[in-house]
Amino acid sequence: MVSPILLLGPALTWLVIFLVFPLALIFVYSFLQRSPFGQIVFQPSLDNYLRLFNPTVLRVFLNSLRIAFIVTLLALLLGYPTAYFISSQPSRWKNTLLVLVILPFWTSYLIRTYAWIVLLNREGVLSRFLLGLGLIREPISFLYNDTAIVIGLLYGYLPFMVLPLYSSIERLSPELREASFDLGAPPLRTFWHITLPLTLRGIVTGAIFVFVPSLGNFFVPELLGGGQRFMIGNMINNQFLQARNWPYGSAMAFGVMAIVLALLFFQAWVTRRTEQV
Amino acid sequence: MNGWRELIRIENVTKRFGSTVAADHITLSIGEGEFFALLGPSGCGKTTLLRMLAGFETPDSGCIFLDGKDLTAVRPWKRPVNMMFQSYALFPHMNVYDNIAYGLRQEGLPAAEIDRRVRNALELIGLPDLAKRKPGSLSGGQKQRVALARAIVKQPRVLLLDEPLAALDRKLRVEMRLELKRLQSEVGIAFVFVTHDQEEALTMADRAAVMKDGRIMQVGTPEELYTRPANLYVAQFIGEANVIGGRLECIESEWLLRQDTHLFRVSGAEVRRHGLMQGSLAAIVVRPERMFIASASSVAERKDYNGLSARVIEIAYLGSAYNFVVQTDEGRRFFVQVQGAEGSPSYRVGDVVMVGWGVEQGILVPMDEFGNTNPPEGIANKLR
Ligand SMILES: Nc1ncnc2c1ncn2[C@@H]1O[C@H](COP(=O)(O)OP(=O)(O)OP(=O)(O)O)[C@@H](O)[C@H]1O
Ligand SMILES: [Mg+2]
Repeated sequence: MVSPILLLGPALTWLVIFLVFPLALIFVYSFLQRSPFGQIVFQPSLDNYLRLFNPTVLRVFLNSLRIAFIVTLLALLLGYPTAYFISSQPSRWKNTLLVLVILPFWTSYLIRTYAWIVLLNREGVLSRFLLGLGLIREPISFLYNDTAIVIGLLYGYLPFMVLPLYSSIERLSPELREASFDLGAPPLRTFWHITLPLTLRGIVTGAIFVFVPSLGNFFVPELLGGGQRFMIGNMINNQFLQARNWPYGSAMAFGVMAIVLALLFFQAWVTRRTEQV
Repeated sequence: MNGWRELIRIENVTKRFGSTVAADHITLSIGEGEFFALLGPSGCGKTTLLRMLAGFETPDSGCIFLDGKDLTAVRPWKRPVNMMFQSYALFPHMNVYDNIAYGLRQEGLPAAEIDRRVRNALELIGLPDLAKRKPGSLSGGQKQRVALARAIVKQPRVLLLDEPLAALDRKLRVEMRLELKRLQSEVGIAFVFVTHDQEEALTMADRAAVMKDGRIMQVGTPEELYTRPANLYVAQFIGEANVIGGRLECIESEWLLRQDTHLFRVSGAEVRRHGLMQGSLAAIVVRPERMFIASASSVAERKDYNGLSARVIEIAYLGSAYNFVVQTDEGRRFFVQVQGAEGSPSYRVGDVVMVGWGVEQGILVPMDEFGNTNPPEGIANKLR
């Protein structure tokens, strides 16, 4: 008899080697110091964490949170109607539409982000289009600002919002909506009192799926923000690759992780609240 | 019924789903305060008709009137009609109180009024202590009551119930029949009640419509449906039936039905009820409890009886009655039910007996296309 625990063996080994071990390493680093030449000095202190609270770093943190929040909100506003639309289609269309939603994943996100540069730059499609319409007089670049970053992130992570929303809307029995109509609630009230609360779990899950990677992403701000606009991901990236301050970068990474963990606890709380359903 | 006043009129309503005709030129009136049953086998279009009354489906053609006003284009949330769903459709994120209050809140009533009515409703269904419970923690019977209260509390003109008892176990179902009936007479709202259980329809309804393939086969009181079925379908759907099909003949002003070589006497009144004529195809329907069984030699040939000699092939004891299946030499089978002590089994399987029925006990139904329906399918199974 093979103990079922053994079946977990490969996955556990993988997790320990590639997740637990590096995390532990970074956790230890985050309490150490950097020598003038970029080496790690074993000198435990909380300095790195205290330095997270300097105004420049805080500003980047706050701006990243703001961008991730806007991306999440827009993803929800775009994703909800999309998911709702898909789930209201006859079943033979549903799968086709879902495949269309995840179709972009067949190409690397990085490459698709380059495509956005082509679309948004001075000579890009958008600029030419507006020129053609006579809405602008000379070509404009839409790149290198927060809007471009938001567009890039929103584009990349929207499917992460649509999929959990779709599955929670799909689980909702249409009879509940009909019962609400029947009891005198027109569609908008029905949406507000019945559909929305009963798909809250999908909303929270989707929001986390979008918020978390948006917060940590570094190549979209790098490419579409052109290095002018910074997010946490870039800052961490810089600490590791340019400033060669691994301990400080590690502390930043754990700062982000603290935020993410807080969000996951929030999700667990919402799930538990709606569990008694 | 005294003082019957029309509340709902369904006029020539047709509804198709692709190639399925779920409602086929249905015309029907339902009275104020009436307990009306829609009865029929699975897939005959009962739910569809109910959903058209609620406004969830729009008829392809035809109209639905309530109090003389055309409802066809009125949206579900504007109709003075409430529905109790087959799945109950209680809102899982709201407690019992909020579920029941939901419809009243949509009307924008003052909070005190809502509270009073919700508490009354909870009282009415006998569950005043469950106000704070979530539907997920209720038993089937409790959910059913809450769903009922939620619909009734709005005081609609009509309450639509889609197989409200189907999900309950048998004992509870029988209890709830009485309870629903009591509730209905207490609140005085018209109930339109969907069921595929003929016993349920017969015991609860003031009137019932028997449906088949989207069409209405007959509308009437339970007694009318049972004793004066309009056609063979209704005769066989409502209760058990022995069926003898054949062609009518009138010999010396006596009406007879010929099946193969055998002639059966039929009631002249029944022939006239359907306006049948010499040569019409028809079937005699005899309820098992209207048949008699006697020892082979005891019954003299009489003008007001049909009697046949047959052999007992199955006997089942039901406590209050005996059921016999007998078969004639020609292979005709009859299902005979004898109440209580009368049926004391002086007969055994294999005995030759006399079976028959009084001519006036034989119900006549017209037929057009005739399949050999004797014995009616399933009778032997129903014996068990
Ligand atoms: N939305 C729909 N789309 C396609 N066909 C449908 C739809 N609703 C009902 N039908 C079809 O219409 C017919 C009548 O269905 P309906 O649900 O009214 O039957 P019913 O009498 O309520 O049956 P049951 O006793 O099984 O509930 C069935 O053949 C069903 O398949
Ligand atoms: Mg149905």
